[in-house]
Amino acid sequence: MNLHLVLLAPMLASVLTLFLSGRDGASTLRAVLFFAFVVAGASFVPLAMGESTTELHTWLRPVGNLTVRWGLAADGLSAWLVALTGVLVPVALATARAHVGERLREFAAAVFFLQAGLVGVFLSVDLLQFYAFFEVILLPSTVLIAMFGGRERRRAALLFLLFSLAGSIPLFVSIWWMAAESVRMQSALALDFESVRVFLATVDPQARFWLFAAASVAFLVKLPVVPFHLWQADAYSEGPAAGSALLTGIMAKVGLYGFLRIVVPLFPMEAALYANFFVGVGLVTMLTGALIALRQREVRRVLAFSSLSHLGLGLAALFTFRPEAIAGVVVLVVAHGLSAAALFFLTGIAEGWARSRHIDDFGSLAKRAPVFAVLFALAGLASVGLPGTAGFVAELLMLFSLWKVYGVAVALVAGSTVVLSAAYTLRLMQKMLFGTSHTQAESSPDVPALEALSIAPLLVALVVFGFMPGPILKAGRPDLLTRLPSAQAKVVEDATHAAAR
Amino acid sequence: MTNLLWLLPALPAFGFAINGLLALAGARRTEGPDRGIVGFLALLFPVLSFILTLVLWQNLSAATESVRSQSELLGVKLQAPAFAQTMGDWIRAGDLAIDFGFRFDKLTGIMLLFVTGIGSLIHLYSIGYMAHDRGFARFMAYLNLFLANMVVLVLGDGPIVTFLGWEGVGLCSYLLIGFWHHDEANGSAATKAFLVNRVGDLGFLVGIFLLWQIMGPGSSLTYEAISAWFRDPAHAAQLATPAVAALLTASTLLLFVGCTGKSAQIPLLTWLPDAMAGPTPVSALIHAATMVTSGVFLLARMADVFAMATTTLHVIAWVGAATAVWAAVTGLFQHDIKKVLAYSTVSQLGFMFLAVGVGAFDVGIFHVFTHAFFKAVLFLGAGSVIHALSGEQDIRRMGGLARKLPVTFAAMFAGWYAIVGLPFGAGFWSKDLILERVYVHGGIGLYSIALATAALTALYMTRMMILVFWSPSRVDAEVSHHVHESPLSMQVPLWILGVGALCVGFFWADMIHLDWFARQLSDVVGPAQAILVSGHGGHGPSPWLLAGFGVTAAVIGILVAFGLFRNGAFRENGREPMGTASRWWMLAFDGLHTVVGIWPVSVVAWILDNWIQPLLMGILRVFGWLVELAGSAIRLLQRSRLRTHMALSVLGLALLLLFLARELL
Repeated sequence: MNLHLVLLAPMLASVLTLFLSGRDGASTLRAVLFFAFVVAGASFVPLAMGESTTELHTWLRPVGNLTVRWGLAADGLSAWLVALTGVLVPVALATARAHVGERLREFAAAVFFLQAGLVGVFLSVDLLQFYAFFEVILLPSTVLIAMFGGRERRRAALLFLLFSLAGSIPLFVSIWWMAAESVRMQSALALDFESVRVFLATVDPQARFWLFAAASVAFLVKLPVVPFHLWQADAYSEGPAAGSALLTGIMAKVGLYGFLRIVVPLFPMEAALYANFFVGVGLVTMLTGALIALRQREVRRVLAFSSLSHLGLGLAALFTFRPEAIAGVVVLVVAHGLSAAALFFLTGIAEGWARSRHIDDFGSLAKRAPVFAVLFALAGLASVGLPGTAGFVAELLMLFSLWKVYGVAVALVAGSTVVLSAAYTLRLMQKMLFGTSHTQAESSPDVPALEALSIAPLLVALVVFGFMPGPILKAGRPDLLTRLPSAQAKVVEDATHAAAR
Repeated sequence: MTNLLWLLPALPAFGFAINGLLALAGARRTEGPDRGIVGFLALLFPVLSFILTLVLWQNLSAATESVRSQSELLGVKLQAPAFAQTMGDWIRAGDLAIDFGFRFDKLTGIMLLFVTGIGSLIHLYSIGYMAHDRGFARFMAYLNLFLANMVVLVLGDGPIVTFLGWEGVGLCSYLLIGFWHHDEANGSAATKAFLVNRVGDLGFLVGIFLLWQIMGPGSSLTYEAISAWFRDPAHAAQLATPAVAALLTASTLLLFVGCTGKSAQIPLLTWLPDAMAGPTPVSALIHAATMVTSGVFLLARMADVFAMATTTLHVIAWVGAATAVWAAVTGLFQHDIKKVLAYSTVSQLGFMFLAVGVGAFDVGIFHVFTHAFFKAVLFLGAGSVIHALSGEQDIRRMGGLARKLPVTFAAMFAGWYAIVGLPFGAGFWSKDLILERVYVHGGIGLYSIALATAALTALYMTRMMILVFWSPSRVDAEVSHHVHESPLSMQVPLWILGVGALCVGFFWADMIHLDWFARQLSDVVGPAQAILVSGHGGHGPSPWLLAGFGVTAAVIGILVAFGLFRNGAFRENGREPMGTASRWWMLAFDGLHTVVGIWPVSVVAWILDNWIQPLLMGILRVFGWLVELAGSAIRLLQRSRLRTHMALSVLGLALLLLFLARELL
């Protein structure tokens, strides 16, 4: 039942939030933060429960040849992602309060809804159920961009929605095809990951290739990679900063999660066959993102392309299938989730002061807002993978595995991120924190206590995991790609219960 | 004793935490936190760290003595003792198993003694130098953080832990070069330093990977394991195979690239002169005495590895020699007192690499040690001059300061005496050892470059001394009213380091058979040097003869300098002879960076941003038009509002689900 609580908590919070009066800003803030903390507490349940957490309930009685089940399961990877979601949501609410103002209630409802969808994605062990949640998260995220974004928000939201739908519909068709095919072959098909994997092994290789391609595209768009990245910079810069933090902090991770949980485990042969292609795509994405980030004129566009670059490296490393890479990618998921989100949260706050998104409209914040500067610099350094932060652990492991499989030349190309990421991040710090002030505002306030106290723990966690990455590394266990969190044991149990009854 | 190692970096790190919080808390007030408290705390923790180092050194020496007497008694060679402390797992995944551990042996001890010792003195100096700066607490906090990272760098028990400190000192260097961050030029210098260092750091990391591959999967990445593996005769055959030898050469070259970044050698060197934008104590501590010598330390730390890679050692020797002479010539053209010293540092670092390149790891470290004293005193003296002249750094507007600033002059004279290599100063002993080893093991080509550089060193250093202290005064009338000797907190470090610059050479005065320093290092780098030296025959000519050549070169340099600059002569327009030629010479490597690094990156980024992105967008648009043409329903979608889109999407999804349900049921 516990995992259901984890999923229900944000749903409930979302509904309850809508029942708030929303007229009194302070009490709304108190209420939504209270909800967020309770939900965050619940988000740590899977981590606390350890590795073998499964729950399965028969959703529809087996009908005809198809069994569709409702099942929740968490292994280390899901548990960390759920926890990450739980941690980032309260910060998003706290830092967005100035920006969304009176519409905090609606904002919070959408955020909780998004959270519920993400938790559902991370806990699903059934392909159809996974897909349903995968599509559900589009709704609140589009709403966040379209309702709370900047001037071009509609266009950005539309681009985001169209790309996501275009990417995911092939996946849906594949699921439908698999169901239909199994019906045609007169065999029963349960859609949980484990059964699908067994089924796929029997499918004609050519058909399987198309299924593989469809699944890959869905997650390549979500990640995203070049050339599916055209929605990203607009969505991240036009949406509300706190929303962008959630988009890059967690939703982009759904892309990597999809590869770790679905694409590679369900299509091991195709994944191995096309590994070079994905490594290439990942590295091209990494380089493109880093180089374009160097030239951006808006802070959040720099951060968007920085995310593109970092996650591209993650994809490349993943497709080496090295145990170091798997561990490294899991650390990357957590580290980048924390650091990129922190940068977006902070940028949102600074944009509120400068009333601009342009990189030249900040300046000398180190002097005017020292707390902000310390937080921003720390987050920036964590994102460039300075040793002593979790980002370094991820970068070291990923570069190591790329080197191990592809040799020195590729390692040096991949390693150029070490220099390039420093180049665009330091440029950002130089323009925002140092130099002379370019704003008219004579006295800017520093980060308010609530925001500072909510962002600081993210940075503390980055440093702690930089020295003690053990727990995360354990989640990135070597057999992550072959041992799926499965509900099989529980199914048997259910069956015996039913028989007893 | 062993379980106290973590305190060495933790003490200054604690100082950083307290002062950092104090600085942050007081940052928005007009007055910062109380300078007395901040200064006291900032000085206290480095001093404690220094005392702890002394205690550990004493214990280690005692342990070494007892082991030595035991091995003489038993007639077997026993392992030299070292203190080690493992804090726990750090990064364990797949084949990689990296523990977080510290190791204190004689090499670490010597490095730590001067890092914490000179570090403490420079903290004391900074209390006076930065007293009137609003960012006093922040500055002291950064200095403490630097010290903590530097200690981690030398204390790490494996290359990855060293790398933690290695990048940590890089960060502090960045923060301190850009300390006065309102000036964007300082920010650019800081950024440049960080980026150039990161290029080197990438080489460091990949070099480690290759090293790990040579040793075989599953091997532990600690210096102890690395040394043991490379010392093991059983691996000699394996190392002799062409494949492994090539791998080793690649690995060591990549590691050396890391060293060229941190220690400002060709081609990653121009960041160091730019780094002079930072406050002068920073230049003395980070960019002269400690951080920039990390590269030499790393090579000595891995002496057993480099001893097997003779090709790399040749490269190191030639790069060191070329850097030494290039920087020495460049130092001649500088007008900024700190730039003169910066190029001098680059040149001296070149000397150290030259020594290591000919297989004299202990001599390289000895020069690191002596250089730390005389270069620190020169920089602190320069800081004192700048302080006295209200911020003036141009040596064309100095002169005649010997009488006005007697303490500063005396200290800088000691530093000058040491660096030019006049008899019995610190630099005399270490530089002559280098010259001797280069002559014996490096050949006449390297030796003549080194000798010429020694003469050039004397030339540019004497030029600086003449222009600052001895020539007729060219100080602005207004400034000269305020010229004053520095406060006591700045004088004490000058005295101590000045005496050090004259005397520390006697720790290894080879010609008069004082070799304490060499004995300390013999356990660490001895086996590696034995391998390299074994190929060569006995000694070269008498060391006294070589020393005579060295001193002659220095004297020639001094005499030429007096001949050229004794009047402090400059043309009216302020240009020196060779104006344009010197420009080209100076900017050679900046130009190289621009052409090889910055331009390609900028051009590709420009193409991506201006061509590829719009191209992809264009394709998307064309695709959109095609869809638009496809039907009126889609046209509606293009024109309509978001709400309609959402409704349509949800509707479509529902239809699909319905379809699926009907199909299945």
